[in-house]
Amino acid sequence: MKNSIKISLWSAVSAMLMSCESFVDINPSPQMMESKDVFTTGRTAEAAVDGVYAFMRTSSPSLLNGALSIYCGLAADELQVSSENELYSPFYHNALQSGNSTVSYQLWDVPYQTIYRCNSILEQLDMSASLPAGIKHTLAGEMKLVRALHYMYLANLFGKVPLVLNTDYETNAKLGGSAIDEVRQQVIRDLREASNLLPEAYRGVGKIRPNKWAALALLARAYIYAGEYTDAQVVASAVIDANEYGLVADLQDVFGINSAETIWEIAPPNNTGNTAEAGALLPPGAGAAPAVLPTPSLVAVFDADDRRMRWFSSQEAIGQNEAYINKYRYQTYDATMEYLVVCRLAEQYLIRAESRIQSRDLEGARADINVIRLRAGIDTLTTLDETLLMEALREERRRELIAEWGHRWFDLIRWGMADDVLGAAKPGWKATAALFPIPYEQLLYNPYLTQNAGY
Amino acid sequence: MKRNLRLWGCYAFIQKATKDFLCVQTLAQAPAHPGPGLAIGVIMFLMPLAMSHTAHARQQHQAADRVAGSGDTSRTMKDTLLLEEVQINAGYYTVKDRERTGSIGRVDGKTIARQPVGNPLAALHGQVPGVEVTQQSGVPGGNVVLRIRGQNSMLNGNDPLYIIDGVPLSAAQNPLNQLNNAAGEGAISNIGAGISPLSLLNPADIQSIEVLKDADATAIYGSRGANGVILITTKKGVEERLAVNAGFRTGLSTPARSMDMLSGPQYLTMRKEAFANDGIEPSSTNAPDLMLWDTTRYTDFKDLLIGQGARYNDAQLSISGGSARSSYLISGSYHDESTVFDAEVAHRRYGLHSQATLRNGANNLRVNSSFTVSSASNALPVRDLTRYIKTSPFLRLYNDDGSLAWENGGIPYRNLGLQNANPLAFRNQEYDATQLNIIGQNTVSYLLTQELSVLVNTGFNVVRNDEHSRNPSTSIDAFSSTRPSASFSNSRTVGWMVEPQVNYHVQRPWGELSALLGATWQHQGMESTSNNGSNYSSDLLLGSLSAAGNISARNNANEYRYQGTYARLNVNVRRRYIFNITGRRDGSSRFGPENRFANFAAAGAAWLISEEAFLRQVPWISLVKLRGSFGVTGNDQIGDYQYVDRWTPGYSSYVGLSTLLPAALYNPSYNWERNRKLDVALEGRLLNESIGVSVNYFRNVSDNQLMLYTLPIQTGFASILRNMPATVINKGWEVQINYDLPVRSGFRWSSAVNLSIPRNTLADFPDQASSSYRSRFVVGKSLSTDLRYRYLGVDPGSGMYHYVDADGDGEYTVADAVFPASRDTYLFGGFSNTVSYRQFELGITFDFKKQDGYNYMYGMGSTIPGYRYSNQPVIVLQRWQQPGDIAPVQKFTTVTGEVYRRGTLLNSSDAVISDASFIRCRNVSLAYSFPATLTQRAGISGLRLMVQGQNLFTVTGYKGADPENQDLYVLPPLKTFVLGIEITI
Repeated sequence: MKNSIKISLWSAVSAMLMSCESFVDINPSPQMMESKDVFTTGRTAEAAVDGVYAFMRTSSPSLLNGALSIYCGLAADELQVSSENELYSPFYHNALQSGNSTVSYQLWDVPYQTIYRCNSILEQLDMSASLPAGIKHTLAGEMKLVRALHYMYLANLFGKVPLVLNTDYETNAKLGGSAIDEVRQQVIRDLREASNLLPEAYRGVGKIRPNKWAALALLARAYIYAGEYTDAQVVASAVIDANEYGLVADLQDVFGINSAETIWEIAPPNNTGNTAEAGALLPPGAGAAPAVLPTPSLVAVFDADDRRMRWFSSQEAIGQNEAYINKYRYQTYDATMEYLVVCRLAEQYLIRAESRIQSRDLEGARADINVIRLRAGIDTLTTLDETLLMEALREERRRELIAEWGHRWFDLIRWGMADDVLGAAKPGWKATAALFPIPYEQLLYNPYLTQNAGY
Repeated sequence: MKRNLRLWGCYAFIQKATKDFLCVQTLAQAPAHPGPGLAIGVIMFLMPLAMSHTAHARQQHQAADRVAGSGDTSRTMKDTLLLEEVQINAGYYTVKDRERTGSIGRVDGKTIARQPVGNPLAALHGQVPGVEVTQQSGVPGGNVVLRIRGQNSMLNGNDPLYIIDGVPLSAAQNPLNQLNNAAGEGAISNIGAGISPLSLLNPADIQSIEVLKDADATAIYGSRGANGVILITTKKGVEERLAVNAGFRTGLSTPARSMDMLSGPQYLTMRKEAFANDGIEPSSTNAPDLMLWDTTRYTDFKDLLIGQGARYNDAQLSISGGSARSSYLISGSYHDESTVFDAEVAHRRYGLHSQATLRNGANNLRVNSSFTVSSASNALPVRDLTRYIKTSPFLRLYNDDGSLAWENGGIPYRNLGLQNANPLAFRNQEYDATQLNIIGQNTVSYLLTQELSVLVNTGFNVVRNDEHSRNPSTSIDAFSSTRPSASFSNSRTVGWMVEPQVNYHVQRPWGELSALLGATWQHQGMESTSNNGSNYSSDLLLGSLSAAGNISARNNANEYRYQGTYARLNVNVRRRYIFNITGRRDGSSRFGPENRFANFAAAGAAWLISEEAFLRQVPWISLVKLRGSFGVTGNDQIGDYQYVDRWTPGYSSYVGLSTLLPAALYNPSYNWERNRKLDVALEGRLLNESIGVSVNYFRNVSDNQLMLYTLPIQTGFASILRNMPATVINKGWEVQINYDLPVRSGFRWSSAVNLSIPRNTLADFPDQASSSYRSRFVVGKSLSTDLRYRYLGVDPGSGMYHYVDADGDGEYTVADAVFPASRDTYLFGGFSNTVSYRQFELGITFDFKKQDGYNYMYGMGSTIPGYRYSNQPVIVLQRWQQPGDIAPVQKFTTVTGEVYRRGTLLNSSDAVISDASFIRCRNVSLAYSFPATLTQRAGISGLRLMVQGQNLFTVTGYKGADPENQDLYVLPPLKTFVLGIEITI
C-alpha cells in the first residue's frame, strides 16, 4: 500500500516535470512588429520611412534640424551670442572641445542613428518579395537621399567620418574615417540613384517627402561641395527648368508651408511646433533679446532698400543690438506655420550661377544672380567681369542664405576664404577650427577613429 | 468569548483603517494633505490604549520579560547564537544552522525594526558579511543598491533575486516609476535609480531576511541565483494567546553630509578673478551676473533647497494569537516621510499584513497563508533639488509682483544657457504617484507517510503604479513658448507562480537522508500606459487629459515566463558528515527558442569536527565545523523579447500618420550567463556558546557574460545585447565574530563584528584592444578600473592642472589616458553592540568601508570654477592665484580655452578618484521598558519608550559631500532622529 502510493506519486511528479516545456513560449508584445512583417505591406513600410522623418526632427536642434543654421552661423561671421552661454559660446568663439556634448549628441549621435534607420530600411526593402516595385523604389529613393544628406554634412563638419552603409554592427563598429572625397562620391552616388528611383510627384500630401527634384536639388548642392561645377550646372538647370517651382515675391512667405519656392520640407513630429531656427533666433518674450543675433557685419551687407531686410526685425528694447533675424517667423507651439525647409529654388539659381562662372558662361551667371537680385528689389548687375561676378555671387549667397543650413560657413571653407575672413573677424580663430572635433567618447569606443588636428 | 470580542474589535478597526486609507489614496491625488494620514497614525496609536481595558483580565498571563519589539516574537540576537535550534530558511527548505552546508546570512526582525528607515534594504548596512549596501539617494522611496559578494557582471544585471515569503518580487530590479521624479536621479554611478519596489514593504512586518550567498544555497534558484538571493520572511503568529502590540515613532531628518557653497561675496571674488585671469573686461554680454544683477543679493541655495527638516512618522499595530492548531497575525502600519526639499509629506505608506497557520488534528495537514497589501503615495518634486544648490547666489528669484523671475536686467536666464534657471519653479511642478503592492502566498503541505510529504506553494504579486505630473504655467520659464503640460501614466505588473514539491525524509541508525523534488512555473505580465498632454490653456485643467491641446500616448505590454524543475538530496551521516546536492533545470522566455533551457547544479559538504572523538571531550569547544561547496548558477536579468528582430511604433506621428522605429540591433543568438561559485568556511563556537567565530573564503568565476555591449554610435545604436568572452573573478574573505557576555546582575552585553575583504578581478578579456572597452576595463584589475589621465596637481608655474603626457607629444590626447584607476571597496563590515541593564537597552551599530570613490573634483570637471554662472563648493577658494602657489584647485577662467580644457580633463583623470573610506554610526537606539509592576497597574503588559538615530555621524577623511553616494549634487542619505513608544497588551 505504502509503496504503491510512493510509486504513483513519483511517477506523477516525474511526468509533470518532463511535460510542458512550451510553458515558456510567450505572446508577442503589442509594442513590436517583426522586421519581416513591417516590409510586407506598403503602409507599414511607409510608416518605417515616415518614422525617419519624424525622428530627424525629434531632437532639436540636431544636425539636419536647425543645428547647421545656428551653430555653423555662429562659427562663421553670420551670427553672434547676445550673452555668453555654455551652449552657443563655444561655437561662436570657435573654441569647441572634443568633449562638447552638443557636438557629440546633436551633430554625431543623432545623424548616425538616422543613418542606421536608412540602411536598415534599404536592406529590408531589398529583401522584401511582396512589396510592389513602385513603392519599393520610391521608399528606397527617399532613404538613399536621406542617407546622402547626412553624409554630405557629416563630411562637411568633421572631415573624415566612418562611411556606414549597412547594418552589420560587427564590422561597422570597427570602421575608421573615410577620406572626404570617398564620402562625397558616395553622397553623389546615392543622390543620383535617388533621383532615378524617385517619381516627380511627392508621396502623400504637400512636399513633406522628397521627390525627384529634391534629389536633384541636393545633388546640385553635393556637386558644388565636391567642386564638380559642370555637373552642378546640369542638375541645377534640370530643377530650374522643370518649372515646378517659382520664386515667391513676398519674402516673408518663402518658408511658409507648401510655398511655391520650397522643394522639400520636413514636418515636425506630431505636427506641433515650428522650426528650431526660430527658437534660437526670435526673441523669447517681450523686451528680451534672442539668444542668437546677427553680427553687425552681416546686417551691413544689405542695402537699405533690399527687400530681404524683411528677414530682420528691430526691437528697440534689445539695446545695443538693433536687429534680430526674422527669416523664420514662428516659434509658437499653438500652430505649425512653417516646416523645416531643406532646399528651395533660390539656392539652385545661385548654384547654377556659380557653376556658370566656373565654366565662364558669364552672361548666364549674371542672369541667374539677377533673378535673385530682382526678387530682392535691388539693382541688377551689368558687369561681365569674372572676378566681379564671383564677388557678387559670394555676396548674394551670403545675403540670400543667411541662417540657412550653414551655407555661409561651408562656403567660406570651400572657397578657401575661412582663414582670411574669419581670421579678421574673430580674435581666437585657428585654421584647424574649420573642422569640428570628433566626439571624445567615440574615440574611446572606436580605436579606428582619429581626432581632427587641433583638438 | 471575551477573546473573540476583542478580536472582533481589532478586525473592525483594521477594516476602518483600510477604508480610511483607501479614501486617503484618492485624496492623495490632490495636493499633499497631511490630515487623514496623521489621524490614522494617532488612531492606531490610541487604539491599543482603548483596548487595554478588555485586555485587563489576561494581563497576568503576559510574560513580564516579553520584549515589545513590534510584535516580534522571533528570536533575538542571543537566540542566533544558539545555533543548534536555529532553523535557517533556505527558500525551498529549511536547515538547522548547525548542519547547513551553504553560506547563508541572517538578519532578524528586531535589528530591522530598530532602524528608522523607509526601505528595509537600508537596514542591512554592515549586518551581513559579503553584503555591500549603498544608499544612492536620500529621497524617500529612493533606491538602495545591494551587492552580494561583489559585481559579477561587467555592466548589467548585478541585482540579487528578491523573494518574499516564497514569491519572487515582480520587477524588483526595475524602478516603479515611468515619469521623472526626484528619486530618479541617482548618483554618478546611477544604478537603478527610481522609486524602489522594496520601498513598498513595511520593515516592521519582516521577521527575518536571509541572504543566500554560495552555490550550495543558490543553485536551487538556478538561472536567477548568480547574484545571490534575498529571502524576506514576514512575521507569523506563534503564540497561543492573544497579543496586541502598538508602536508609534516620530522624528526628523536632515542631510547627513553636504558641502558648503560659496557665499555671495566669495562668488563675486571668484568671478572677478576669473575675468582678471583671462584678461577680459566683464561686460553685460559676458558677465550679466556681475554687471546687471544685484551683487549684494545672497541666496544660500543649499539652505533654501535642501535645508528643510524632513518629518518622519511611523505607526504600527499588530494582533497575534492562536490555538493549539492555529496561529494568526494581523498587522497594520502607517508610515510617512516628508522631504528636505519641502515640508509637505512626500512619501506615505499604508500596509496591512495578515498571516495564518492551520493544521489538522492528525498533524499531517498544514496550511500556511499570508497576505500583504501596501499602498504608497509619493508626492515628490520632479527633480532632485540638490542639483540646483550650485545656482548663482545673485540670481533674482522673484519679480516685484511676487511671481518667479526668469530674467534679470532684461536678459532672460535661458539666453545664458541656464535651463530651469529658477529652481523655485520645481516647487510649482507637481508629481504624485500611488502605488499598490499585493503579495499573497499559500502553502499546503500534507504528510503522506512519516517519511513522505507533498507540498504545493502558490503565490501572486500585483504591483500597480499610477502617476501624475503637472507642469503649470507658474513652473515654466516665462520666456519659453512652452505651454502647461501634464503626464498621466500607470503600470500594472501581475505575477503568479505555482510550485509543487515532494519531500522525502528518513532517519536510520547511520544518519538521515532527505530528498526534495519540485517544479516551478512562473508568469509575469506587465502593462503600462503613459500619456503626455501639452498645450493646456489653463493650469486649472491639468488634471484632465482631454483638456490638453496635444496628446501623445504610449503603452507597453510584455510577458515573462519561467519554468524550472529542481531537486535536492541531503545526506547526514552520524551527525558528522553532511552532503548536500542541489540541481535545477530552467527555461526562460527571455532567450531565443534554441537557447531557452539550461542546467545548474551544486554540491556542498560539511564536517562537524567537534563531533569527532578527539574533540568531543574538550569542554570549551561546542562546535567546530568545516564546510564547502561548489556549483554553477545563472543570470537572466535582461529585457523581454530581446531575441526578436523587431520594430516598435514611434512615439511621434508624421503629419498624422503612424510611424515605426527599429527597436534595437538584432542578435538572436545570445545565451545563458554562467557563474561558478566556490565556498569554504570554518565555523566554531567556544566557551559554552558565548563566542562564535566564522571564517569564510569564496571564489566566484563568471564568464560568457550577458550584457549590453557598448558600441560606437556609428553602428546605429549605443549597445547590443550579447555574450562577452570576458571572465570576472570575485573572491574574498568574510569573518564574523559574535560575543555574548554571560548575564551578570541584570547586565547583558552582546556584540557582533563582521568583516569582508572582497577582491574583484577582470581575469581575461580576449581582443579587448580592438573592442569598445579598451580604456574602460583593465585585465588583471577590478571592474571599476578604467584608464585615465594621471593627474599631477596644479602646475605652480602656469596655474593649470597638469597631467602625465604619456606619449610625449606635448598634447593631452586619448593616447595619454593610459593609467588605471579603480573605485574599489577594499574592506567593509559592521560592528554592533547591544547592552542592557535592568530596564534599559542600548544598541549601537557602526558600519565601515575602506574604498576609493569619486570626490568633489568630479563636479568641477563638468562645472569649471569661475566659468559662467555656477556656484562652487567653498573648497575652490584654495585656488592658484600667482606663480609659485601650491594649490589643489587651478586658476579660475571664464572662457573655453586651455584652462577650461585642463579642467574638463579632470573627469577623465585619476584626480576625481580618492579615498572615500568611512565609519558611519548607522544606528543608535536606546529603549526604556517600564517595569512590569508599573505596567500591570496600568492594565497593560509592556510599555517601552525609545530614542533612535540613523546615520548619526560619520568619521571620514573624504573630500566631498557624502562618501556613500559620492555626488555633491544628489541628495545624500539622511540623518534621522526619532522618538518612539511601544505598548504591548
